[in-house]
Amino acid sequence: MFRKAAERGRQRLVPFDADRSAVEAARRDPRRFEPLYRKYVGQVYSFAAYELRDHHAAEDVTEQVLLQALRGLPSFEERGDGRASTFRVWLFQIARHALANEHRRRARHPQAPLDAALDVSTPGQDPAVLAVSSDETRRAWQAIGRLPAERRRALTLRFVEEMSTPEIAGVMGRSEGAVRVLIHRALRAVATELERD
Amino acid sequence: MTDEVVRLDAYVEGVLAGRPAGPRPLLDPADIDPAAGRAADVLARSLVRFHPSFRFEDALAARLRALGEAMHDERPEPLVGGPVLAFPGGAGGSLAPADEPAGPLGRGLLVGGAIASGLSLAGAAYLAWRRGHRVAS
Repeated sequence: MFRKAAERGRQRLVPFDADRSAVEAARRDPRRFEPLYRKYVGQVYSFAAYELRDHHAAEDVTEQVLLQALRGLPSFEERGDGRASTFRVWLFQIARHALANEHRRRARHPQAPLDAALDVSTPGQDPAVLAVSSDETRRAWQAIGRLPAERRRALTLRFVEEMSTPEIAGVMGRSEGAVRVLIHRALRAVATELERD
Repeated sequence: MTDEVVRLDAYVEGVLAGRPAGPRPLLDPADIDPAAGRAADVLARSLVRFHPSFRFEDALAARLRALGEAMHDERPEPLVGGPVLAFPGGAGGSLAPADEPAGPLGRGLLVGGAIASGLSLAGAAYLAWRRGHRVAS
């Protein structure tokens, strides 16, 4: 009885991954990757768009990330070693590396940034509310854009992708405490920017 | 890590979950740095998620399907943009007739799509005119 209990104690604690069944299906048969793709293509693209601020570059990175994810799926392992390591975290780790490569490429071949013109209109919305919210969105977008890369990344993952602190820690390769401090500093910087405008 | 950082983290968690200020008994909004709290409110309300164009999404889906098929069949990865086919009607893909120069650098020209259609029509008209001219002279 004690032996069985000890064996159970040695079993790894694996965080709940909402994608587990879809990931297993795609690992068994790579032709079944599409549900994961459809679920995450927008999230990866959005993360890249906030980071790169260029529609075409964001599409290029999204393509790289998802192709790499499909190729690398056999090596993906869900882990429970204290850091959340779900499929989503793994995918965003790939995205973070792809974005770092893109930043390095841009540093070697500088280009004039093309700031996306934001049009987030919702049909049927009061034009006055729309004008205010659109202006607020633009200011928030600009404030985020002025942050250093790490802070911008942390806020994008938190507020756009709505990731938890442990998930962000997993994506960024930092401790949860470090992520909390990063977000705290980033929010104070955004507050200063918003008050200035 | 300071209490302020932990409190702000809990506040953001509450804002994103749709609660006004997190678990009430533990967190009083007055404990939050007001400016950072307001910034969190603005970001939670106004940061949108972007989506790629549907054309891009569908094109990438097709590419992933092709890759998935290749992985399943243990074939080499398919080439980007689909298979390469020989251009019909000319060895080496050159549109230029044998007695005319191939191009400024001596390379064969491979022209695709609408440009090729235009060249074909112009070439056919020119050949018809030359033949007609020879017969007449």
